[in-house]
Amino acid sequence: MGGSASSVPPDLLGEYQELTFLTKQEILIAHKRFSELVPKEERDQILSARVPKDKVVTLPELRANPFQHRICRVFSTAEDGDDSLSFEDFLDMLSVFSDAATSEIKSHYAFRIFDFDDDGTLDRKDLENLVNCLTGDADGTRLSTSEMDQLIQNILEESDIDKDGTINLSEFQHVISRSPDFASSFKIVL
Amino acid sequence: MDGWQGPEDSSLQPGSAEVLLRGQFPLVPALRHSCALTLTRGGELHIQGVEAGLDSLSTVLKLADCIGCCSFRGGETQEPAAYFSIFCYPFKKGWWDSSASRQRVVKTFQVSRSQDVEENLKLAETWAKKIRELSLPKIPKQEGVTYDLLPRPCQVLVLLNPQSGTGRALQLFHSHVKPMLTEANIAFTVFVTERPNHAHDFVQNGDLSSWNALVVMAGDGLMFEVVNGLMERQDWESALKKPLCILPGGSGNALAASINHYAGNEPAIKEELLTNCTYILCKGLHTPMDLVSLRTASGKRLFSFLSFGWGFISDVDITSERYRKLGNARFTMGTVQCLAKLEVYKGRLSYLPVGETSASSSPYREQSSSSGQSGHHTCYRNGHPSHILPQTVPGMSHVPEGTWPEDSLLVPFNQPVPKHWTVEPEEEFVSIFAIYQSHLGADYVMAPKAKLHDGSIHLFYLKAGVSRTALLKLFLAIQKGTHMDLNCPQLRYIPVRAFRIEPFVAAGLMTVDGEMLPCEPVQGQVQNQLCRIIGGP
Repeated sequence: MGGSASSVPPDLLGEYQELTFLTKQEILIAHKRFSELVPKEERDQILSARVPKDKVVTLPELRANPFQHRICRVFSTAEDGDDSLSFEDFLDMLSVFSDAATSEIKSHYAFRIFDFDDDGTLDRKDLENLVNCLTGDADGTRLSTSEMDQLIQNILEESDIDKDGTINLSEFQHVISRSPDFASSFKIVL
Repeated sequence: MDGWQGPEDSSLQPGSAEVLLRGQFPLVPALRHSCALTLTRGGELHIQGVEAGLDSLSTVLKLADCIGCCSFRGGETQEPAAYFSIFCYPFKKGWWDSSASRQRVVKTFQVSRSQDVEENLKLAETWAKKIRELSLPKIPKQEGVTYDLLPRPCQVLVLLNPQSGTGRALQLFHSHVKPMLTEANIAFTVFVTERPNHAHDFVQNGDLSSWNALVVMAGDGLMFEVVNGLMERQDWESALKKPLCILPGGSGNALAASINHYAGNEPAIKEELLTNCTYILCKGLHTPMDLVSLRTASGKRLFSFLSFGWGFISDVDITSERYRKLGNARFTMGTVQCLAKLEVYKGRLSYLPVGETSASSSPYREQSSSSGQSGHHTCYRNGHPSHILPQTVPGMSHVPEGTWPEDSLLVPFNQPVPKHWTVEPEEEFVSIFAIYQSHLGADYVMAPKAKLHDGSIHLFYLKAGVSRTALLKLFLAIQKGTHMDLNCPQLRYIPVRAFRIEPFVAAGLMTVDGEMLPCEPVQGQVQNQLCRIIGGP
């Protein structure tokens, strides 16, 4: 099709490279993929467009991710709370999930993603939501109450160092730091 | 009436009530209260309060629970009395406890019949010696398996990692282990490791002749160092006759949990597991243990006592700092993330099921043109397998590889597996896991029927297509040992004597005994009864 979408102006490109973990190449690819999500009419104004959550989760890299909705919520700067992503939100997300991002950044955002009620700690309810995201909501796939309890017990025993029944950010990061697989699996590369 | 010796009639059955010793001694510190002691051939010490109304003193100590008994003089120089103390650790359960645990019971008796301290001491020692004899564990008789006891007196080397168990290992040694070793008359030297491979280097090069057993107080990773360090000695064959022993240094340990299981104990964790394992050490029974000889395509050869895995291992806690909580398999936040991603790994799995009788016809050797070392040379030299990483490991020449046991069931990687092996047609896996003990962690009963020397590798693999829910349920079931009952269609279990795993792409974690390995083709086989370990049967 004719008329390629507007590209990223060089000064902005430089700024994005400074502010994120992404390489120039990665930013340009992100731009291209983002523009595909934006309706044709808005493609000259990509940098001010917002893509609704429902479209964001159609990206193949997010489609199979059980935490797709939380990811949109965490990275969205939409003032009306509709979880839509602007291009800069999108870059922020890709930056955290990039190869170059540190484990500390990743674990920080993983915590926010798992914090379903956004109250700064992971409590029982958050953990239940977490597990339900993993298992899916259909009748056959959910865990029974006792299985859920056993699992949550496991997680708390392992991660809740001060035994207050919740997992705070530093307990979370401590536990995550012992998982060598974490950084490599907490990755989205377009 | 005091201290006479009953007739010793060896024709009576053990377990009998035949009285070997009988006497009356005051109980320390309540010296006004005298106790009538009766020692039976069946290994029981009956203690009865002599005066009326002293039933609270009456008890029976089973010497099967006794780890030591010693006689000694009194503290005061003028004092003619001698004493003997008996140390027992029977299982006891308070109403608030979910399970029984070993609790220390000590009884000290005063011998003061005579005015002469030497006579008193002699009598005390007669009792102590008999009690020690009757406390020795029975040596099981099993075809093809040699059990034995640690000698007494006895010296052990304790290799301890101070970082283990979130840094409490040394403190736990002093509080829990040292007192029991002293009671059991086991002398010890503590070697505190300062860095990874410290223990490995020490056992490889050090003089071990003064110790009767090597005790590892840490996680499985330190035992791995010790086993492989011993194998690298010129005198590895005799070095491996020295029994090894594991004491859990921290919150979890797969080998310790397995040893606890083989002893017939209920599952235990933390300090209870430590006490159980120390008790097992104090009793001194040791038994042969299978090792698995593992070879990698890049030419490494390792000896493994616990497990080998590839792929999603539901967070068998693998860390670069290897000893932290090793083997304490738990579901953690890291597992959540791995589960979200749920990778699939492509590769070929082949194995030799237990029960296949014929071994491979030719011994494991390269068809290399290197100068004719006929006979026993079995390492990789100028390896020509094509898809594989290069070359001999440097510095191998000093290693006694030539005398290592043959891997008669294996063929080099550049050859297909022998005909009587099974090649799994499925080539996409979530996880492949081979375990040779019963437990994968304090809470993980992977192979409840495994034994120390069953000649088997318990091979589990999880084919692609398993849902996250199924994986979670499996995980929860493993904690109870009921995972096979779930009948998950993607989970397969087969006991094998050898296996080969060939990843198509170097992706996914590989671990040996919890240590990370680079991902590459690996194969291994059982080496029956290669070493000895405290425990049994």
